[in-house]
Amino acid sequence: MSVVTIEQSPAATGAGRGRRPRKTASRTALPARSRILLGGAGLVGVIALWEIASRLGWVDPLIASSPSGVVRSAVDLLSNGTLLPAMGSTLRLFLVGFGISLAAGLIIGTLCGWYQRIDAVLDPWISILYASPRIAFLPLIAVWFGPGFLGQLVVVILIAVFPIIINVASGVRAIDRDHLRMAQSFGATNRDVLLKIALPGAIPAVASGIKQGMMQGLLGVVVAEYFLGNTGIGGLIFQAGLMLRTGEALLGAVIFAAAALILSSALRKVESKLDRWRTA
Amino acid sequence: MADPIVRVDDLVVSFPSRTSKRPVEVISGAGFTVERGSCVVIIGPSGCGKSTILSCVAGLTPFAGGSITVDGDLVDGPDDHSAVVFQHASLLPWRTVLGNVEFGLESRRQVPKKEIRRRALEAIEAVGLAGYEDHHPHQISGGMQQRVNLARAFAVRAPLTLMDEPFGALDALTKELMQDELVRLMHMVSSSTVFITHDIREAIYLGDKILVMSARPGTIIAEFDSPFGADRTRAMTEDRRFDELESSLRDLLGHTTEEVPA
Ligand SMILES: Nc1ncnc2c1ncn2[C@@H]1O[C@H](COP(=O)(O)OP(=O)(O)OP(=O)(O)O)[C@@H](O)[C@H]1O
Ligand SMILES: [Mg+2]
Repeated sequence: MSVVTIEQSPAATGAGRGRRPRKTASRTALPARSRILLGGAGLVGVIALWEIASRLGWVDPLIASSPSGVVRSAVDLLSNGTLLPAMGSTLRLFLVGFGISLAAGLIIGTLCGWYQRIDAVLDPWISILYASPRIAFLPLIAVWFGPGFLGQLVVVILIAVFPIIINVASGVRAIDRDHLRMAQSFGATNRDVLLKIALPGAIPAVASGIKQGMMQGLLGVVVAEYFLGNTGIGGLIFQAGLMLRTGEALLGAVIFAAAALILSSALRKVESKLDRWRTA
Repeated sequence: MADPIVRVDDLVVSFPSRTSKRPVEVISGAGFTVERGSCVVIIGPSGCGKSTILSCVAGLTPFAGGSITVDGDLVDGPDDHSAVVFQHASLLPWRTVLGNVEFGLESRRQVPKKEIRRRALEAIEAVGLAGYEDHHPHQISGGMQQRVNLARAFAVRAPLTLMDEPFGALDALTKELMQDELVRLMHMVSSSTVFITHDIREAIYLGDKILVMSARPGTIIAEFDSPFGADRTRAMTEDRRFDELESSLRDLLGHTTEEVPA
């Protein structure tokens, strides 16, 4: 019973020409709230299903453990005083290993990106080592550096340093030609170009190198703790696995996953600060 | 008249060829002078070597033969006699408008830090960007980016400003606006200018002298003194002499070179 009649286009009614109305493609972004809600619901759902499956005996709790089993392991390990020292030792290995990798990666990467002669000498080594599965050196490292902290540290550095070197070097190398000419026209020195053009321009590449180095470094920590000395959270997972204490092993994995999440979101924050000029 | 600020004699430039061992000659025997305080426009078909000549005068491109003198000194590398306004604004995206204008002054190392800030702000004001000092290049339009480019060059107060199609990538309206702005600026700083373009009307509007280049290998084939005085206004374009000059330039350049897409 409308007073105003709106003339409908043939496309809108779809009738008359015997064609079905078409739905135009639309790709509007899902609102952030819906994303979080859906993602959270999925996580909670799977965890609940897992708990139920384990309680009802659909899966063997000894093999699959259960969310409550993981929590129980956490409480046990906290009360008998093994969890916190293990976390501390893992954190120390990561911080020292990643810290050295970061410093070395930034320095070596900048040198390689800026000085072509240094690059010419180092590039074959870096390329070979970066391309090879460096975990293969594990037994040798154990022999050369021992199965203690030093050996573990070498493993972490060996794994984490190369993505940083490679990304920093390529970022520094990729000076915009127009920027270089502009700088030359104003009489900028080599030092000016390095500090004011090459390095700031390399920030996005450096950030992605650091991200890769961080994630690889975490992997290095796990591997080092598994195979050299069995310490920390990595050692805990390894031991628990051998003893079929699946709750404990899963707890360790959850801790590493949480650490990775925290690290990458912290890095994203720093990155967006440094990179403000890039985002519109 | 006093001695010219730029004297280019018998300039020869060649680049290594990709296909043969013999280098290709890009500029063969170009010569011209720029009187102090004047604006010389070089016009020519795309690829004839306009940018190359400018780059030689700026000391950025080595040349095989001939000589270039700027402000009494032979050019053999970048020096403080000239400042370049590049075709692409070449702004550093991580620096603000102010930071970009300061870059030129910092690199020149002629004035102390406090003076750098003062001069940069002054240049930003002069190109009409006051209030945008803290913007990053991606936050301002293409026309505004070219204003920053101009400000960066004018801020160092070099006796000679070299401009390589600075408005080539701008839309017609913005381009006219920037040309008027440039006329105003050139009066203000009374610097000498070499301006490159392949836009005939722009050449007539801005040039005290217009040099026409041949296709590659480039050389100067004609020279026109502007019939208009120092006062450049849009009314010029209504003038009969403007049209006459336009058609003689068009005949020289050939009709094909007219609307070269930027
Ligand atoms: N570094 C270089 N190496 C080899 N060839 C070059 C180099 N720079 C320029 N050339 C060649 O020299 C010629 C002249 O180039 P230039 O950039 O000076 O032309 P232009 O007149 O400025 O052209 P446009 O109007 O397109 O800007 C071109 O054919 C170009 O291919
Ligand atoms: Mg050019």
